[in-house]
Order: sequence, then C-alpha cells, then structure tokens
Amino acid sequence: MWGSSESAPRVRLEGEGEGWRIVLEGDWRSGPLPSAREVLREWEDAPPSGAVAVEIFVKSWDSRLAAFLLRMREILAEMGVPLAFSRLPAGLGRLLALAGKNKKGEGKEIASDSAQHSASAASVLREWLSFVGELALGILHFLRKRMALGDFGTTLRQCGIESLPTVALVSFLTGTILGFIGAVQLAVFGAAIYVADLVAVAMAREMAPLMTAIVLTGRTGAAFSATLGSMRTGGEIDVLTTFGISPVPFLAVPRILALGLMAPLLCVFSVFVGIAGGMVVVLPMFHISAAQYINRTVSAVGVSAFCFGIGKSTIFALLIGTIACHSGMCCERSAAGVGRATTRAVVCSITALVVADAVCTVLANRLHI
Amino acid sequence: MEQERQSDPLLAVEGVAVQRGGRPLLEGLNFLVGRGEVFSFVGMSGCGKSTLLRILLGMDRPAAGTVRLCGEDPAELLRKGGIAVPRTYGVLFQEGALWTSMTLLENVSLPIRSYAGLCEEDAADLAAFKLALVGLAGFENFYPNQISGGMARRAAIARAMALDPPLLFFDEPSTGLDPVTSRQLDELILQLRTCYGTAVVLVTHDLNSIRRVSDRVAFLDEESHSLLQIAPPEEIANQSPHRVVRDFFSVRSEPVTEGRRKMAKEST
Repeated sequence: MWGSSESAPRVRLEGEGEGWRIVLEGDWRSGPLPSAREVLREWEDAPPSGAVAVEIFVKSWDSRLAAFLLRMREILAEMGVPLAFSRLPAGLGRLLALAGKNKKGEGKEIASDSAQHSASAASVLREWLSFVGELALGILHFLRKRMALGDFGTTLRQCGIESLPTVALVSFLTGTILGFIGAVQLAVFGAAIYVADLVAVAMAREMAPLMTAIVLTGRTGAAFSATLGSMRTGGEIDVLTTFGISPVPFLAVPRILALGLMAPLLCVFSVFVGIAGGMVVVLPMFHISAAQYINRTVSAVGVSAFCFGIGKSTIFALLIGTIACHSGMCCERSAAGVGRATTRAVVCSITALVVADAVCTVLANRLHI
Repeated sequence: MEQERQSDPLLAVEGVAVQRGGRPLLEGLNFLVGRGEVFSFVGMSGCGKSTLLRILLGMDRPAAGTVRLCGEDPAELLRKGGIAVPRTYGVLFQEGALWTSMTLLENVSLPIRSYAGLCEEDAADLAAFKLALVGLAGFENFYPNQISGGMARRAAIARAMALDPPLLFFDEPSTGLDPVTSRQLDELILQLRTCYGTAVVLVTHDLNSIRRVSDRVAFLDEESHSLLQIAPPEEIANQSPHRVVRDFFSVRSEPVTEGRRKMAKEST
C-alpha cells in the first residue's frame, strides 16, 4: 500500500493466484505522487502469474495519473505481465489511447539524429581548416580589390569610434591601478619616480593590447558572432550562396580586416590614456612634476616595446575576428544556437588571447624585444 | 509540353534518395521540370520537402541519384560559385530571408552589382525596376524590418529574379500570410511566368495556392518514402488512386465547420 492519508493519492496491490489488481484511490491532483517503480517493487521478486487489472476510484486526477499508468504498464511489460485498464474515469481512457497512438521510439530516433549531427573533433578541425583556407583566399581577393567591401565601413565604425569610450575608460582605470600599486611598492624603496616606467612599459607591452582585445571581444566579437549567427538562422547566408557569393570572403573578411585595422589604433590610444591614468594617481601622491613623469615615460618605452604591443594587438584582433566569425557562421539554426555561438565566441576568444599573449611574451623574451 | 520537357528539361531528378542524419526520408525520386512550368511539391510536415529543396539547390548532396539544373550538377555549380548560380536559378527562402542590414534596393542590387557589369547607378535603376515589377515602387529605401511579411516576400522575389534566371524555387512562399496577400503573391508568380517564361518549383502547404498556380503537383509520402504521384492539381486532388493523397487534399480543403463537426463526432 502506498499513501496513507485520505486525501493523498493511494495505490494498493492486491491478489494472489488468478486475480491480480492494482487499485488507485484518493486525490491524484495534489500531493506527492508515488513512483511506479517503487510501487511495483513488491512484485519484483514474485511477479503476478497472470494479467493485472487496474481499478481506479480516484476523486480527481490530472495528466500525472495517465503518465503513472503508462509507466506502470511499461514496467509490468518488462516483467512479462500485461496490464488491463478498467473503470477508467471519463476522458482518461481517451487520453491514454491518444498517447498510445504516438509511435514509441520516434523521439529516440530524432535524438540519435542530433547525436549524429554533433560534430566530432575531426569534423570540427576540418571545418576550421576549410574556414581558414577560405579566409586566406578571401583576404587575397580583398587585397587585389576584386571583392566588394561589404560591411567594411560599418565594421570600422563599430569597432573603432564606437569602442573608444569603453577602451578609454578601461585603459584609464588600468593605468590608475598600475600607478597606485606601483607607487605603493616603489615608494618603500624610495623609487617612486620609476612608477612612470612601470606604467608605461606595462601599458605599452601588455595591458593596452590585452585590455583593448578584451573590450573588442566583448563588444565587437560577440556582435560579429550574434549577427552572423542570426543571418545563418534566418537563411541570409544561404541566400548569398545561391547568388554564387561565397559567404566567408563576403561576410567574414571585411569584418576581420576592419578589426585588424582598428585594434592597433585603439591600442595606441589605450597606451596614452593608460599613461595618463597612471599620471593622475602618481603626481599628487609624490609631488612629481608632469614634465618629470613624461620624461621618465619616454625614456622607458622604446620603439621596439611600442611596436611589440601594436603587433600583439593586431594578432589579437585577427584571432578575435576569426573565432567570432567562425562561431557565428557555423552556429546551429536556432535562437539558442545563436546564444551558444556568441558565448563560444567570447570564451574561445579570451582563452585564445591569453594563450597568444603567453606565446608572444615568451617569444619576445627569447628574441630580446 | 511533355515532349519539350523530356527533350530539354530545366530540372532533371533521377533516382534521388534523401536522408536526414542517416535516416531515409525519400527514395527513388524521378521527375523533370520543363521551361515555364509551375511544379509544386506537397506532403506532410517532416516528409523531406525542405531537405529535397536543399538538394535541388546544391546545398546538400543526395544520398543517391543525380540532379541536373540546366544540365549542371547544382552542388558543383555552387562549389564553383560566381554568376552561373544566379543565372541558373533564384530562390525565395521561407519568410524572404532578406539581408536585414541592407535596404530593399541594396538587397536587389547586390547580385546585379556583383555580376551584371553595370555601374552603380545603372544597377540601382535595374534593381528599382525589379522592385516595381513586384509592386514595391517607392519602397526602395526601406529596410526589411520596416515592411510587412508580404512585402518582404515580394522583395525577395525581386532579388531572386535579379539576373533573370530561367528557374525559381519558392520555399513556403505563403507561410504566415493572410489569404488576400497569399493570393496576390500567387498572381505575381503567374505574371512572372507569363512575362519571363520562368519555371517555378514551389514547396508549399497552401493547397489553395497550389490549385491557383501549379501546372503539376508532386505528392511526397513519408510512409512509403516515395514520390507517390505527379499530376495536375485537380486530378491529384480528386482522382488520385492513393488514399493518403485524397485524404491530404480533402482534409486541407474542407470547411472549418465540417472539420469541427468531424472532431466532435470522433470525440464522442
């Protein structure tokens, strides 16, 4: 017997020999429902020798009762025992018949289809190589002026001018943080003036390219991925194909090149703003003159360090653009797919940025840049 | 017509099998579409119409058999790209699929600018002419999100016929449109066929639309995974030897009150 209270759903297993019965009583609209497997556990060791009849005397019920009965029929079928329904409330019989009409296993088939669609590592690699190949050809065509500019101008504006305020704010704050931390530590050794060196070198070599890249990932990379993903979902990319226009050169190349062009410029801007940020903190703290600070800054940052930062910024931009465009153009054809593609673009880009930064730093160290 | 279709088909499908994720949907498809013909596919949802359409467009390869569009393998045509594709066929995808970042004029003029060798101004004139043909004169500078669903389909038709292809594919052109707009779209299809002699392959669920525009209708059956019958619309609707075909057409065309009566009878 499952359930004791008068109003709760109750199940009773009865019978021996020829007459096996499952009796359902109580209110099946509220309260916790029994698990069919748990209820039938007492028959597990000694299953009924014949058909089992279900008798229903419930006060009220909803779809959960129908689901419970179907589940019970499945479990008994596993034991080799048929289940017969009798005294079904009005509507419940029709509901069970309707549910029985739908072919069992169709959903599984579809699920296995989607499993087949889920890309293996080899197919992902193949897809990537094909994308990069098309991209390289597209860039060549672009440079030979044999291709339409597409969204080049719009993207230049989007990742250039429109990113300026965010880059400025992030860089300024990065400069102030570097300045403050450096000042506190260097002041202990009486070397507060070298804060200018610290801020300048850190901004030019590391922080400006990285912070610019992170802002571009969140702003522009995510936008690329979402836009291209929506275009794929809405069939706009298919339309391009049916006009004999290869989507990668037409959609991805202008975006990646625009990003590759704007990122170094933003990086230069970020360096100056970051240095200004450091100056704002250091000057009042140690009563250093602006001229002294600028002199130290100029002597600390050589051309090679500056170029190194700009070079890194270009590499980062190409990485962000490629990852974001690939993610958008290969996304699943659904709203959720666009969301996943955008998340993937941001996560993969930031991971790739950190890895690329580490590689660049090691290489620079080896090459004494 | 039949003789011309046999000797010079625009679209030839021979022994094509359609699969989705390794699951067979359709097998042994054989049919020809001739010049100036309106050929429609019907069938239950999930029977493989859209997958077949992707194969006919060359976006997917068939599991077996061959497809020839103007004598060319469409997949090979797409792989090569270039002007040969829009010169061979145009497509109206579901809900138009206009490029949302471009105005209607830019949408139509992009393929013209890419291939027709016209200057910017002439390409714009030609695109405006195409838009006027589909009744969208004056809407050239509107963006897709500023126009109705019916207008978006019309604009997409103008774009599909930008380079005057001999064959147009329409994927569910009337989905989500009211009956009046749907009828206007059908009239447009017939006018284009008359003016340009364009053949149209139509994938649709709208039986009224099929009756209005189709020369022949092909019924795809999901149970037998086959093309059950190809016939003119009246013949396939009224005299089909296949019960599933008769049921399909009778269910779809019965009046609402009749449908409600039938459901009420079944539920008692």
